[in-house]
Amino acid sequence: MAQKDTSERQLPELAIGWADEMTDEEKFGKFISGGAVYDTQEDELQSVNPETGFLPTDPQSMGENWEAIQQAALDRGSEE
Amino acid sequence: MAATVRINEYNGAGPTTTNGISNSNFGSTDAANITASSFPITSGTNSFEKWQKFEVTALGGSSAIKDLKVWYTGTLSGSDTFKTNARTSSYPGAASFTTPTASASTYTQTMPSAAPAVNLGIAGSLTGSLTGTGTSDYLVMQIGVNSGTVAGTTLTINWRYTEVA
Repeated sequence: MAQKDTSERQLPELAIGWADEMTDEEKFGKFISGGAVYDTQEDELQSVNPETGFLPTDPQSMGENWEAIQQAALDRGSEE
Repeated sequence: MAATVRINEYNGAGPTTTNGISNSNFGSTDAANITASSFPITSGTNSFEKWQKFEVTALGGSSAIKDLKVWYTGTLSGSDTFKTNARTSSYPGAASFTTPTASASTYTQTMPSAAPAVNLGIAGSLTGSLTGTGTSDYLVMQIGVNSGTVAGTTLTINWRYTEVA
């Protein structure tokens, strides 16, 4: 997983701040992704995860085993 | 193409949602992605509950996601307990969120240690499915730590789902 640059942070579009710089009260009801905090789940889904570099809708966001995970789930579906 | 999925965790009264969690470490604080050694659980007490959901963020050409199964692999330390709301029969519907607690959870099913039948619902039913983006019911989990526990036990929590092409 890529490391965040904490010395010169660029907030992703739509993000309102960074989780590690916000109090629990400030994060109340918010949506955190890769350390960036968003007001709504929709905002978060449209934003590249600042740690992985992928949109939440990109299959690569599932991690390095993303192809195996997807194939196994598909294989179970085709068995039925 | 196939679906894109992730696990999200819910903490605090808000709750605050952490999408795409990177670990499910249990500890003595109500937070996502914790470092377990920073929040040890005293023997004779419980971890904070974990409240998590499975989310489909993109169907990727599949028509449905269904049959959620959750279990752990590895060996619990000493006489520790691993409780959950997940169950394969008499599923009571989706759990309603309450602030995660370190008091004894109201959910007392034993987490299976091998792949079970479907044990986590979608829209309140074990036979439910997602035909678009969306989430499962809440999965609630809690570890009870016994006096015989050895520090540093590692378990793996497994999530399995089926995709309908």
